[in-house]
Amino acid sequence: MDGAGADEVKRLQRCINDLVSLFALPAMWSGREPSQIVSTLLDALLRMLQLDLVYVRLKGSGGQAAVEMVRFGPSKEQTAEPHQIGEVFKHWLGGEPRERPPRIQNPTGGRDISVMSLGLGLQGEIGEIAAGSSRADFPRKTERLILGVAANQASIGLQGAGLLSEQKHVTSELDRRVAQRTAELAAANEELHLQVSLLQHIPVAAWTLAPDGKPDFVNQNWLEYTGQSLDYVRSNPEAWMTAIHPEDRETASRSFWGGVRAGQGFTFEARFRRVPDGAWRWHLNRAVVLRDAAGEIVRFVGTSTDIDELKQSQDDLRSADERTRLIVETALDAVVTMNSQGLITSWNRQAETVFGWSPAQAIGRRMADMIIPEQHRTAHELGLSRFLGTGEGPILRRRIEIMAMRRGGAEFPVELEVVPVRLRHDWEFSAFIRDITESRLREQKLRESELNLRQMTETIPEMLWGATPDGSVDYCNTRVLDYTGLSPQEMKGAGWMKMIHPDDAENVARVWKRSVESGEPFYFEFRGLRASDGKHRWCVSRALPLRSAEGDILRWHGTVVDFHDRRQAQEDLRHAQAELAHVNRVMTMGELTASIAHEVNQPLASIIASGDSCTAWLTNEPPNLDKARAAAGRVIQAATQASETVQRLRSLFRKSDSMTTSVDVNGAIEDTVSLVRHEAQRNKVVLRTELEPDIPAVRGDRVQLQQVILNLTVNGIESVARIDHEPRWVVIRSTRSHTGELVVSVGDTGPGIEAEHADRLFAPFFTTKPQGIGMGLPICRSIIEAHGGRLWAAKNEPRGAVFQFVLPAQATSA
Amino acid sequence: MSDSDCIVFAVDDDPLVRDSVADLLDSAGFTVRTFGSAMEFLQSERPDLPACVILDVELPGLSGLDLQAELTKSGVDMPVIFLTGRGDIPMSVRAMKAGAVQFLTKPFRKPELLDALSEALLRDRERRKRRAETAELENRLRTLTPRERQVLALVVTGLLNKQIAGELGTTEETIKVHRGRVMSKMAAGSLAELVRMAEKLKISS
Repeated sequence: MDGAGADEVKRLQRCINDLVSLFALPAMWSGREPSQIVSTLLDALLRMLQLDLVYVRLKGSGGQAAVEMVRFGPSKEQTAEPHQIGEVFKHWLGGEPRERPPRIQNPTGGRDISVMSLGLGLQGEIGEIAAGSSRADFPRKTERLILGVAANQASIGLQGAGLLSEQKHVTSELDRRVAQRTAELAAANEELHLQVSLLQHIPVAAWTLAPDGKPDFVNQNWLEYTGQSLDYVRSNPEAWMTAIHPEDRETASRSFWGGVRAGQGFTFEARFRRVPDGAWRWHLNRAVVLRDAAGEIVRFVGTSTDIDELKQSQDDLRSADERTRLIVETALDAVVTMNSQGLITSWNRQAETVFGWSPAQAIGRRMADMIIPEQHRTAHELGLSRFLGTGEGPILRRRIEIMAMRRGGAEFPVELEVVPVRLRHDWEFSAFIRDITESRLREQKLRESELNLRQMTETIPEMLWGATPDGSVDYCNTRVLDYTGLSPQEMKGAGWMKMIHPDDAENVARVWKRSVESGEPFYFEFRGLRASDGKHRWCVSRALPLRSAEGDILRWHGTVVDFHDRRQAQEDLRHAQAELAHVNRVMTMGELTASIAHEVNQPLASIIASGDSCTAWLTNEPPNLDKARAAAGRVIQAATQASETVQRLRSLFRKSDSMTTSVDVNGAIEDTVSLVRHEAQRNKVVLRTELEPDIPAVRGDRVQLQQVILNLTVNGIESVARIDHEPRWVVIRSTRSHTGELVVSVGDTGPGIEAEHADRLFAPFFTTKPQGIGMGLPICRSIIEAHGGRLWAAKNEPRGAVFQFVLPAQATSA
Repeated sequence: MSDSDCIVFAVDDDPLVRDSVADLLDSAGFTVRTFGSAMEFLQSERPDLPACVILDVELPGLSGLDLQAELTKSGVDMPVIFLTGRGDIPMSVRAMKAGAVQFLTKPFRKPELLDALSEALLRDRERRKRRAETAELENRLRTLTPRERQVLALVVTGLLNKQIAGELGTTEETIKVHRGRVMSKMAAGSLAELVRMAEKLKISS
């Protein structure tokens, strides 16, 4: 603290002491003569203000004589009589109070003195008081204050002394007004007293301003807080404002100067920089004005209080309150509060919607009457009183479902939570209530559908299973368990492999792993162990992944179907079809016996003849080896030919299930034609082939495809045989369609298909031949369809019929 | 058997069979000519030798049986041996009725073929011999006057000269003269011989 500050403090403290002393004076003066009053006053002032002189003149009134009195400072000797001093002052005493007291020659000699004078009484009607000091700064503000207070006190005392002689109404009026003024001053003094005493020590920044707004004092707290020095603060009226946040400076400045100019003080909030940590913190800046007895502004005293936390918490509180209010108002739940008497104290909008009562209708009514159905009211009352008595409430602070009552008495289910709130002396209960009529219904439906689903998965006659995304089985329905005889635990993870035939297990595991890794649908046929008879049966399992919206696999759901019987039936059917096809082949061959015999006997004849001739050439004398060799060559050639023929025949007679290979259709046609060539000749039918080279191979059963060609060709020959005119031919063509399919046609110049037979052509047991059984064409069609193709008949040009079939270039096998 | 004065024709569309048959006959000493079809055979020049033809029944186009009929129609009286890969009875009956020497089913053995061939050639030789004798008698017949041919036709019916004279409205003496000339021109040693000749020439009254 610097010297000036210390002096100031001392001065102020002294000032306060002096003021206290002055206020004590009227008590001492009670009942005293005016002269006594004036005397003690002058002594007190001389002591307090260390004056060089102090002079009082009382006007005579009410029968009392005028009084003049003077006191001189201790350093002075009494060198003048009161009336002498009165002479010096008389020119300006009683005039208007001067702003700047005149400096006059010391009536007692020595240095010039500054004089301050004040009127006694409201209008100076009692007299005047003048104080003089040789100090240049006299009178200081505090001295003015003290003088002002002293003058007032003296006026009171003197007034009291003059009561008897005053007229009643004047006296009472004066009393009233004095009392008023006294009160005002007392208040001012009180404030001053407090402010000043606290200024330096209070933990807030405090300051004083000259009436013109220039800071003349700031306390230590301010200096430390802002980092400014007193000199800096005093250097410029607005220097201190550099501590204010730039954004707040303009409004602060406006409030400040507005308050100063109006002489009313001010209150504003602004952010100040806290130097130690550089934080901007909100401060409440408040100044009160101090006036002297004349109403003159003495100074402004103010504080800057750090309200940052308060403001923060106020803001928080405000927003929290607001939020709470909004939440409560817009809550989906009805929010109702009740006091300990069971009366409703608040009722939000939703409560109105739910219960049908407006807040105005509900607040103040008994909760029990408003929303609690009759059967629960007793329990409610008991529960409330029990809680108030014991602090226990079994339904408090948890969500319960209970019936509530609407306006009109209708009951409905609600979800309710009651939270007790401790107020200062009482309890309040907040009830959060939700109408769950709808959700009850939804829940019930959901439960029903869940139950349905569960019942369905457990009762449908299918085996169902589920697995986690990593392929681990975590669910099997009862059908699976019944079928496999395994427990749910045994099926879990990879346990289901136990039901799979050892020969299939590895492949199933591999395919399942691939699906799990790639997310491709799972499909596998395997032999599964049926617990009931301990036999392995053909089963097929399929599974698909369930994916999230993002495409991640959430689960696998799968089925297992025992299709053993169906597969058996399919195999039986296939077998039966093969059998039938074989019979058909044998029968067709039977029809062709003559041609076939020729085909076989031809090379045999050659072999035997050449064998004989070979022998003859060798037994010649000398042997003709060249001719013998040529004959032997023919034997081999013919034997090879015979062997091929037999091979072709044997394959057609063979009774076997289908065998899928890559079939050269042109080759199959040529082999077939070789078997029926003589049949055609015998019937004077020209049999021709027009085969497109480089047609693609097809996948299928060669024997079955040959059978189709054979049947169609024999049919063609037979139909031509029935006519006895030209042309007489059967042509077998192979070509490729524009779509890449293989097309084979067998056309003839026979009588053609009679319109009445067209529909039944491919029907079983339909035949126009005396020896036919009507299975040829149906078998042909089933063979072609099993190869993924089509077989149909059409009119041939210029006459006859044409049978055609198409096969996919990569046909699948039958 | 080695017959260099005869020839065997073989018609078969199967070259292997054709060659085998030809070679077999070659090894047996026969002269063989082969043809791939009936038409080829019909259009060929054939030497005037004892011959026979081995025909495959199942020839494309004109079949073996058709060819046989064709040959008969055109007066070619050559013996035919049929070969067939699939003999059925109706077919063989038809062939044999049409004068086939033999109907062999493939595969056949060498002796079967050679036996059939011998018989066929023998038949052809006899046929040729008969045809040669008839030709001589016809030549003789052509030397007779119309009156002498009338007398011949009546003599071989066993009529007496007197009856013949009455038939023809002439004298017995005249008939006697004609009869002597006929016997002499026809080189007949006896009436019986003349009757046999007339039979061969299919002369009747």
